[in-house]
Amino acid sequence: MRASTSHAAALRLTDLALPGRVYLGSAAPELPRRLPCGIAAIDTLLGGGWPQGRISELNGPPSSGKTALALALLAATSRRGEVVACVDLADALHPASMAAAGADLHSVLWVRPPSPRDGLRCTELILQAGGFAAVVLDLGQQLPHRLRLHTWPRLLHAAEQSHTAVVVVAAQPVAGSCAIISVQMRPRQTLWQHGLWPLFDGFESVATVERSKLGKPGQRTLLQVRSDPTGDGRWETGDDDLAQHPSVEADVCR
Amino acid sequence: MRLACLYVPDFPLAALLRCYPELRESAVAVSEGSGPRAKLLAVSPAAARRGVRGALSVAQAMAIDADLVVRTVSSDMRRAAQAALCDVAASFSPRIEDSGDGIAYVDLEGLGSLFESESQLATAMAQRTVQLGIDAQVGVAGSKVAAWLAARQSGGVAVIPKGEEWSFLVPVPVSLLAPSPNLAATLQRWGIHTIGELAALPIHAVGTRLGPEGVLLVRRARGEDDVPLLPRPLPMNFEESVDLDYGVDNLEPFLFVLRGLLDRLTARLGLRGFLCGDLRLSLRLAGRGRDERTVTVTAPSNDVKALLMLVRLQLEAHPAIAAIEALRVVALPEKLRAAQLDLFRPNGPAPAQLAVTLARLTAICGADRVGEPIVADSHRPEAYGVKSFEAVTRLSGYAIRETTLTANRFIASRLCPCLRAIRPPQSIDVFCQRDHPDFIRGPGFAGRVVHAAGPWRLQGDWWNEGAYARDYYDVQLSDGGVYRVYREAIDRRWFVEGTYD
Repeated sequence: MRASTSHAAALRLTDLALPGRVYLGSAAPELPRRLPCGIAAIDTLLGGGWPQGRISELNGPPSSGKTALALALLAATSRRGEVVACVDLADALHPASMAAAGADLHSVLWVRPPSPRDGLRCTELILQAGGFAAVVLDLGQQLPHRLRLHTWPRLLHAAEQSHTAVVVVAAQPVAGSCAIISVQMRPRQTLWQHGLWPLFDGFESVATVERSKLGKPGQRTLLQVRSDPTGDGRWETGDDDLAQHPSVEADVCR
Repeated sequence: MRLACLYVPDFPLAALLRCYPELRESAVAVSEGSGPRAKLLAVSPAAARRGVRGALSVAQAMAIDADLVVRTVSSDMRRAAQAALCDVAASFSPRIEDSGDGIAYVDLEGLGSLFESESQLATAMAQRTVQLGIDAQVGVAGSKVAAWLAARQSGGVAVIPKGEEWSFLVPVPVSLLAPSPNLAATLQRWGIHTIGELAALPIHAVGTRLGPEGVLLVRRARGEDDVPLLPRPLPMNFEESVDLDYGVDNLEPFLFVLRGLLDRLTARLGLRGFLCGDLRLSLRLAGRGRDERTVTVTAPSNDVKALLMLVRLQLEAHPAIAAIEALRVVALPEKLRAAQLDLFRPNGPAPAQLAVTLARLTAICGADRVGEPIVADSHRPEAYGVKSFEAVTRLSGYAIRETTLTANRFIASRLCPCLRAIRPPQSIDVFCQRDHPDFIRGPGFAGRVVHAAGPWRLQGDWWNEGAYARDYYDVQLSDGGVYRVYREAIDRRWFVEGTYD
């Protein structure tokens, strides 16, 4: 019955020279726009970038590359002239690292709240101000306890209103069902420059979409987080060369 | 030459009602001072209907109407009302004359192309004064005195057509020229009741009998100005004040009062084409103390809600030490600058909204914990800096770094290992083998060293008290984390500076 009705309505629209799809009961779900972070592998994994107007999560243990990924988002967005914010609960942001990631620091608002509760309040205030393209909420390794139940829904509502991409960086998922996508970073190996004087060069990590409301979870990709090998200012993007990493080949989503 | 006169009848009462609009429907009287013997200067129509007249004492008026509200009007309130009247005049023409006590003249030269008729122009002037809380009467004529008489006579808006001043003035009572009591009594004795009768008298004979004051009165009756229009530029004085009935020691009632002042200030600023910049608050406190403070408005705005929030945040951070008995607010006018937006660049936050948000964030986190990160000009690895977030001014169109932005667009993104700083660096226990770290135990982490790079020596600031000399290592522990640690060269203590992530 519903199908025939919608079919008839679609025919009617076509007669009126207004062809289109007809939905009964509710409008078609509107897919969020994406904010690319400039790392091809991650943008492909996320289906175009981090969702705008939604809360996303980026989790992982220390030295897994989650901070590098979050800074890459802030860097790419700020370079486009958009204003971004970093709510740094852990007080861990290293401005030199951010500058090295290519961020335009003039477009970055850095907020260091004294407590998790204040951090969420600050994030909400920034979202309510509007105009911020991306907000990274860095919770650090310590999970915020005793948050009220309505905290994350309020944050989600504010993000929807401001069309801001909110990325929560934490050791473990914290936003629950309010997060539209959850990316887990797992360290694979550490890269060292061997020789007479060994140097830390970076690490390889696997980024996995643990949970997603926009697509199939479980997709993953390999990322190389490396220092500048050339030193000429041109940076390599994360490379997930399948041939070199057969162990993750089957799971990489292109 | 055509002139308009803005005239406010019962100016002290108008100045009072501008500050206390809730009294408009009440029976109100303005006294010249405090105490029962003080004379009334002006009474509201509601009070007049109850039999209260001007020139009565407060005690007499209260005997007639016990519910009468009697207030005094400070010189600040009068000055602000007069300034508001001049702001209205200046919003029509730059050639205005401030005659004081509720009178302002405007040169209408060149305004004919903006309004269809002088009547429409006068009506617009009257409406604009109402917007500022003043009920002014407007008269338009060929001379100042004729315009003034027209405004006084009309009770609203009156336009005397060009060349018809005489016919308009003839039937007007001579009392409207406000002669001195002695002169008024003399004219009454002579049977002179209208301006036409007074103007018909020979001026030399009047001068012989009544002196210079009489001559002046006759010339005014004939529509001749004592002095021509003297236009002067208006001072940039945007100030409002209020005396409170009792000391206010709570923030909410204070902000309620402040809102009224800001409403009036922003309305005046808007008329003159300005935005509200920094606010200077002068608070008179109980015990004769004073509290002077400046509220910085990063993004000039006439949004009262935003301005009120900025004041609230400052008062919450630094409350007044005693109850507030009087308040004066001075707004620094800022030119309205149109921001040139970029076709290829997204809009950022609204400057006014962002300024409020930054103020609120600062109130929560502290001034040194909100801002733009900067790479410190230092070789000390843990050095960093924070400065005020300048995107507010940049978005307002004050400075646009187009060159930088354009260049930045073509830089490719990269993933590089980032340091997660531990502030301040934490002391750790390090067990060494052959002078190299072998096992590390720190706050929240511990493990055997799997890989290590270093040491490399950093030393600096030897020319001041902050001298340092350190041996740095990058170490990977058995838990998978890669840490940057260092050993002080002097006391051999170990610290962890951050984690690579």
